[in-house]
Amino acid sequence: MRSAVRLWLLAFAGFWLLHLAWALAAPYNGPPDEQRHAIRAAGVLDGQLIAPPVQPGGADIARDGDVFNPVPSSERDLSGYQTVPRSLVRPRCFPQHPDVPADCAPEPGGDTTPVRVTTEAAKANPVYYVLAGWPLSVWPSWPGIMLARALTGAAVAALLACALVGASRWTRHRALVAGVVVAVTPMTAHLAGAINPNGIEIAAGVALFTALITLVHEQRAGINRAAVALAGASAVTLVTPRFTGVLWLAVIVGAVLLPSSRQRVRELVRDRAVRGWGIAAGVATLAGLGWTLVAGTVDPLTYDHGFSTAEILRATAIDHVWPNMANQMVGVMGWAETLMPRLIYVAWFMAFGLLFLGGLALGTRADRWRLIGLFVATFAPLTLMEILTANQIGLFNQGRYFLTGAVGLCLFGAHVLARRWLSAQWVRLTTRLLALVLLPIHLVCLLFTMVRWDSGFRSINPFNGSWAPPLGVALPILTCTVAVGVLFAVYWLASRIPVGETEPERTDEPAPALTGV
Amino acid sequence: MNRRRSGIRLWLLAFVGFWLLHAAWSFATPLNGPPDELQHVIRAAGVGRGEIIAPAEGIHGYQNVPKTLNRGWCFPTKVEVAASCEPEPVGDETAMMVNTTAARYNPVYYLVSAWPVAVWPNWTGIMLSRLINGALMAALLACAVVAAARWFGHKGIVAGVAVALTPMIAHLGGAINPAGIEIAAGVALFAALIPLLHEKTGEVNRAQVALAAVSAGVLVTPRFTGLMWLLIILGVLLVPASRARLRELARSPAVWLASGFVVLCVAASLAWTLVARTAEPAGWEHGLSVTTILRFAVFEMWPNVANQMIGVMGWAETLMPRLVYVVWFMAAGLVLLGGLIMGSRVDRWRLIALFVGTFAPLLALEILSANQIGFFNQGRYFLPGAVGLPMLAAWIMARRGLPAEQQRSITRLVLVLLLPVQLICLPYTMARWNSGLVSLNPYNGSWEPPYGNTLPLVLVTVAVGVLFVTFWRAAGAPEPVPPAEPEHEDASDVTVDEPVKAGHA
Repeated sequence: MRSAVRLWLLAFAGFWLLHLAWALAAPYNGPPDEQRHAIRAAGVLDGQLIAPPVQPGGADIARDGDVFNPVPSSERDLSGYQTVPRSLVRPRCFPQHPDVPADCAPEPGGDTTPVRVTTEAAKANPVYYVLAGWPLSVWPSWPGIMLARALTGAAVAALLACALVGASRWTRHRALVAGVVVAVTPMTAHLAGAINPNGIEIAAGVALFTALITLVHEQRAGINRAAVALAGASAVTLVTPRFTGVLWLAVIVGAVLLPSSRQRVRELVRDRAVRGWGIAAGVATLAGLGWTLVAGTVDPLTYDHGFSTAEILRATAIDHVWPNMANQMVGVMGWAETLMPRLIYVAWFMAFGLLFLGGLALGTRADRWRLIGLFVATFAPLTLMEILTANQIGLFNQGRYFLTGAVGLCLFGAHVLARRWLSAQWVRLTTRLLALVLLPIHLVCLLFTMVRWDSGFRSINPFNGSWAPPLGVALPILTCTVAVGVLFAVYWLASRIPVGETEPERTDEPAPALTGV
Repeated sequence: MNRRRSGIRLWLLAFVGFWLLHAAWSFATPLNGPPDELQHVIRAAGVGRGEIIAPAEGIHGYQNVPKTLNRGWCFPTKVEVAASCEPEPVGDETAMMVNTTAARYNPVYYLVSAWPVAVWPNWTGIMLSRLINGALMAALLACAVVAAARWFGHKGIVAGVAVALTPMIAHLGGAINPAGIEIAAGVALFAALIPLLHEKTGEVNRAQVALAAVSAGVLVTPRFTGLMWLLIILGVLLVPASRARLRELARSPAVWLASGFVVLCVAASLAWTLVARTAEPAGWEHGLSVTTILRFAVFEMWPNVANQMIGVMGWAETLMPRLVYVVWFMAAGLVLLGGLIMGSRVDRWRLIALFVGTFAPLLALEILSANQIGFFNQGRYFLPGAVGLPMLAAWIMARRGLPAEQQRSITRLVLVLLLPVQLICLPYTMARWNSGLVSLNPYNGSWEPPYGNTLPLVLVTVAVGVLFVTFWRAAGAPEPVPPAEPEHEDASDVTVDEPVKAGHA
């Protein structure tokens, strides 16, 4: 018990430090959609829960000399407006322009006169903003932004630490630890250092998968109360901040349960704790759905971009969206404009291939159908919706939207490998090899993205830029380095084979031919 | 006898599959569509006229060739330009002096596979040369497939061969360019040397010795880099190797004969390189700073190399639909990381040494000589060594206890994922040549292959079907050695739904 708490604390420290590094490195509105969510947070805390729709000309118009640009810069911003301190409204001059450093926009802070501005997040569920964004109402400037980022990062870190401890303590050969190493991509770390509910949704997905795999597939008898609590809490968290959470809950529960042992499911359903948490998740789901219906969060836009079907299919399948999504799940930072050094994607795809394809190749028929079913359920709904509504909404998908379900592919893959192929020793090696290959990539990504924000890639030295993070360039680099070191120790410890578990001698002699069935 | 017959049948099936695949590329491609093809066509025509040592100018040289083969570069490296901008290779066959970067290349490849260009300096000669090149490569690759299916105690290596044979190799199999045969020789050499050195003791399989000798001879001949690849492959597979096995091999007359043949080929190749000054560096000065060179290499060149090994077609300008690379990297990850995880310390060092030996020399050379030569590397240059990585890793996984059933599952999954990629790459590259990607329908273009669009599309479809059957059979062919008593607990519980015991392997 104590060692689990120690592991949780260490994992929490590692993940939070990693998220803090991103929080400390990023300019305001550097992470995707950050200003939209910051404006929503400031509005919610001011009591503007249901944002009024924007009438033509209804938002404040920028005047010459204004440091902000409240004119709707995107048609997607037209979902509603919030009245917030002017200090949080800045022009979007560098997002989507990787060669423009962040100093083109004035720093947040200063004049706090209320202004009316549109935001795409105007109809988003307020719970996340109340819990993680409240500092913005107190300090609508850098201190509030940093605190709000740190709170998001802590929440994500707490969920990931729970998942990691669960993976280490509840699963065969601690296999899911390897899954966590691959599932937690630099993109998740980037989002966890931002004011954006996406990171929490992804972390809740990791925790929910871990808990449910434990309850339904790892443990054949008895009820692990901690796993039940983690499943319940992460399900509640999953369905709350974004309207897609309900979809993900259905996908995750479906992937875990179909198929599963009926006897085991009956045993779980009879348990009081399971029913209690089930009711909590049901209530949260209804609340999430209720908000979505009341606030009109998913009301479709009604533009007509005039794309032909062939153009839409080519742009999605071949030219842009799907290939970009693969990279973006690993990490295309900022407003999906900062492609990382491309070899990191190769490394991550290879690591993912080991777990996912390994599980697919070596699993039973049920395992394979589960993995394929989860793959389809993760990618098909949003990609199909995009194709069908491209003329109305545009090509809206980004890799991070899929991560909540996609993390399960790594976790299930690792679970299958440990059950069907890898011995405890090999699982340990897998985890450590993956940590050795993938953890340094977190540091590379932070440094590279800092270079982009600080100088727009004029120099690859983050210290050589026209913009510098508010607390300096060295602090996030140092924090990230420590975080990577701590996380390496966490993965190392979490993958240790406990004393007493069989560990066969390794030998340089080859195994005999035909050892299989 | 039955075993032998089934081996021959498998070889024939594999040969037909590979040759059809290469033929599909041959029939789809405009002249100079594949990388550097015109350079090699000019060299072939010159060699055919007896101009073995070409008059030199800088790193290039001149050959006298028919005017029909003197075409420009209006579409290579320009992905949006269709091949119709260039006249077809027909008409006036008067000889003229033409410059080529391949002027100093070893003439043997051109004499053996590209002689039809000298006889028919038009589409007939070009297609015949491409088909001969494709057939020679197909023969070597078919040998590798049969070797993978017959000469190993475990068939896991078949998955490695399937991962190694990227669409880039198929593209080169339908071109006049010696890079393809060099890569195919690398595949065959790995397939012969691994069992010869590490699989069995007590006897010397003459077929393995012969395949090793022939592929080593082929490897070192067409391009001067072949010598480097031979050294790397031998070094990685010999260090370390069982001394008893080496002594056993050293006692075999067949091995001595084969070694003599390889030494002769190496000496001939070295002599040519020295006489013709094939590897003489260029003397430019691009004025790039060290920072610029490193930044460009790490952020641009190296990632391009990764994609190019799978396939960036034409003159490295036609990036395939990018999910192709994701799928291939995933398959490579399964095999490579699996090998690293399951291997012993020696196995891991061998894999890492092959990785370093494959990539470090040319990348280091590029960085050191970027100001003189420019950024010359392309993914295909690394393939003669890189093909060994999935082969070696898959062999390690199988050898270290991956049950036979699971080896077969991996091979078949890899096949299902990767073979259809060949069906994507050819039509997509045809769309690039035919319309400059204005349309993805290869039939909608301003250029059309000389024998029409349908022929290559049908050929590639049949080829993929035949190769699917070939690999499927290779993965599931009868075991070559009688069942041995397992050393450990039988792993037959791995397919049941109950968890297997820890440390079963």
